[in-house]
Amino acid sequence: MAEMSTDAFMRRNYRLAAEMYEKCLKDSATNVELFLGCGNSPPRVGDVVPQEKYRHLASVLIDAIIANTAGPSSCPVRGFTCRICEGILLQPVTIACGHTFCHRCLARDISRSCRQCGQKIASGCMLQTNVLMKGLSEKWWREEISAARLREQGNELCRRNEIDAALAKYGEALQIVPDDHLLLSKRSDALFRLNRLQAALEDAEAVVRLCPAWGKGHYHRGMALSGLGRHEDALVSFSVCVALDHDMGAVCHEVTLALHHLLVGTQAGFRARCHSLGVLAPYSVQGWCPRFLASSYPALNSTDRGDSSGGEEDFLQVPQRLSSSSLAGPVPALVSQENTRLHALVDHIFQEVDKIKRMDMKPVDLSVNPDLVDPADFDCVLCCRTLWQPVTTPCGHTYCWMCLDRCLDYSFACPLCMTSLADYLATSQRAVTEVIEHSLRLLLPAEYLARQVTHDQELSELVQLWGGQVPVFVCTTGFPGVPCPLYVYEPRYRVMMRHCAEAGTREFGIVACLTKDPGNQSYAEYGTMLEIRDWILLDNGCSILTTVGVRRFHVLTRGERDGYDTAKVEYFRDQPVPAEMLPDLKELHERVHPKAWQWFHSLEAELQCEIVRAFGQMPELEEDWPLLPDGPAWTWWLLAFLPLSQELKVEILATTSLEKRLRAIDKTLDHIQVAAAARQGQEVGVSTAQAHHSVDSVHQSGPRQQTAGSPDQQERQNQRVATASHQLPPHMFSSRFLEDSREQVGVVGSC
Amino acid sequence: MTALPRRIIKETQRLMQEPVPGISAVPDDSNARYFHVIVTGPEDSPFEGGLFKLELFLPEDYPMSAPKVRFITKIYHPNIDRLGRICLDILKDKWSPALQIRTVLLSIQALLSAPNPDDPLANDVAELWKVNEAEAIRNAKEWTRRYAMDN
Repeated sequence: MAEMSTDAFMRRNYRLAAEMYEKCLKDSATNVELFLGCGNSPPRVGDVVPQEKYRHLASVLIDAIIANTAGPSSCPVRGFTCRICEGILLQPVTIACGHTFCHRCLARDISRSCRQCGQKIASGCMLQTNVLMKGLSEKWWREEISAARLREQGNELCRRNEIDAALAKYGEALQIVPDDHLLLSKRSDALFRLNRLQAALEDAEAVVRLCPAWGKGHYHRGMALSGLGRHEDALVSFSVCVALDHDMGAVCHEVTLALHHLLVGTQAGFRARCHSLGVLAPYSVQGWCPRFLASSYPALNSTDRGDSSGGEEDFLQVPQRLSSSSLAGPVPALVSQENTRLHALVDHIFQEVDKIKRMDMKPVDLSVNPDLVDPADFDCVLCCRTLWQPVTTPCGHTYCWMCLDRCLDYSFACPLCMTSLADYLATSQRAVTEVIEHSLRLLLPAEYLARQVTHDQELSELVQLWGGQVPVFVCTTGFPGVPCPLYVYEPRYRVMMRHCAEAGTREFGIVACLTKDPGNQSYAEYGTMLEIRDWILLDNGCSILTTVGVRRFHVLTRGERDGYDTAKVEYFRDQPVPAEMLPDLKELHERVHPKAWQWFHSLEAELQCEIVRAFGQMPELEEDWPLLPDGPAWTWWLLAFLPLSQELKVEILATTSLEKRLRAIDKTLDHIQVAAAARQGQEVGVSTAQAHHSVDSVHQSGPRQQTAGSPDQQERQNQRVATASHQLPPHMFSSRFLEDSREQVGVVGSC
Repeated sequence: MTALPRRIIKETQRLMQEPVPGISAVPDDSNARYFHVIVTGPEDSPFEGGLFKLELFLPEDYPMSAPKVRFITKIYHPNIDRLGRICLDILKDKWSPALQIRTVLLSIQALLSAPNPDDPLANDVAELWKVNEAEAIRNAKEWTRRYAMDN
């Protein structure tokens, strides 16, 4: 196909050639030969070629440049600047993704997504100034900020088309910061609009010198050059602009115009001028050639465009010279020579683009006077240490990530301005404020490092805490191997759970609470380690834990950390069963195990279902159950919902004798059956309290049950549990959460 | 006992280096979370000329929860009861972790300048303050003279 087009071109069938070239370009990858052919053919057809024809050609060129400069937009951005206006941050606003922009830029940006990472900006986003960053900018870049304010005023004047006034503002600002590329480019644009093209070009050249890797600078240079009629140079500038900034939409149009001028404008200009001179162009489809005219009217060369500096005329001059010597020369020679200039241009463009690729694209930060950097400016108001993982709230206040987390455990209000952060917490979109983090790393490397060391130390302390002490969740009795679902809403336990996560451990202890008074809480001496199996963090900062008991412990000493309890503990297990005792134990087990099974299956189906949902199916009997550290799993499973007081449960947990445990179960089951028999024939529902009283009185009389709680205590216990679990969304959880399993007897009784 | 948080160390340092006029707060030798506080009675208040002793304790989860502050010196004030307990919103539901020991003590000093009998803790005092302010102020001055000026 390409060959056929070249063939057509050589035969001077330009119309056919143009069509074929265009088709080739559409179908295949870009190729300079095709591009040149396509560009060169239409004008030779002789018609006045509309710009539209060149749009396609322009996009081919742009695509080729983009393909040649790999990767997405490689436009460098200086630190401490706004990604939208690329200037210094004026009234900085940090959005949820941690990126910071000028307030004006964000307010005017209609995309409602972050320019840096693309994350959607929540519709309710308040756009509050980042107080810390604003203070730092005003301290570090006083002059730049005042220049930027003048620039903003200038931009506003430009929008209102008061260009002269805008120029004055830009000039004023440039007096403060003479080397501001943004200001120079704005002034270049303003000058261009006033048609002061040479001055516009000078400013644009200055921009390119200051900031060679900034696409917009090349764009303004291209515009000025284009205005001056230097279309070839303009095309190079636009191409470099595209290479630097793939997203420059406006460039395509400018490239189209430049190509049009380069390839057609001249001829059209000639023809127009010929007409105006009253000379009829000797025009034919096959033979029309501007060189003929040019040689006939040499004076036209320099008058085609007033201030033209010869860019486009060069295109004519080559064939011009050629025409005078060998107009009728061999066609292939003519074509190749005629394309030389265009070839050279395309080569030049790609050379420039290559230079860009080799350029050091590392963004240069705005400089900060070290005398103005005060480490205290970066102190977190909550922990009084250097900010670590700084996050900025929607109300514009910056804290350490972990400090803010802790505050949100206690209250949804921003500690500094008391604005509610409930929505912020609920969206769970939070990210480190990049600009603050960047400042810290860059300007206070020693402090940053020291803070990192402290942070790591704290983490390892947390881990060590696990070596010597365990965090203790004071709530209820857990049992080995039995699931224990928890709803965590108290601030201190939220901190505790986060510490578990941060320390990389998945275990904590659970113990029963033995007093009602929350101010003077005392907890049981025996508890169970729970392993976290699943952790769902809810919108309100509370969380749902799926845990399972792993091993029993005895509390040796008690401690406290950040408001929650900790303890030094000693793990323990059942005493090994002496061989001579084994037959008796097995006999006991063989009696109690089926009894338990029967009792469970005698419960209402609905209740069984609920028990299974909370604690799982009754565990299968292990073959080696007498050897296990905690005995057969089914005993713990049953104890989890047997109607026993918290104190009794603790005691059963504490015993290291499987035999005692089996006897306690046996007795309880007997009692339940007796009580049920006594109730037979009476009304089905029995009050929970009654059931409790009778159960406990039996245990109190039992030889091993010396510390059973009084009914009064149990009642209080019940109330406490009710308070503790009242926040459980009933639709989501069964009443088994956090509860004292005696509550289930109430259910049993009423069944 | 975990190490003293940086926050408490910094606050203490600052209290020592840049003391608030009319307020002194010194940590206890044996417990860095317990402060001995002396607040001078503000000028143009019935408490002028008095030196009021207070105790301030930073709980384990400070600054997440408010410091516990109590007047030791007896004071006749509608928002301070016989046990020295203070009715001040920032010590209760309006506490914010961004507040500090110094801001708390300043607020207490301000409370001495501007008693608020509409939100009383000591009901009898508040009642008198409302029905007969002159007598209440006389009482306050008398108490100040009797209890807060002896040394």
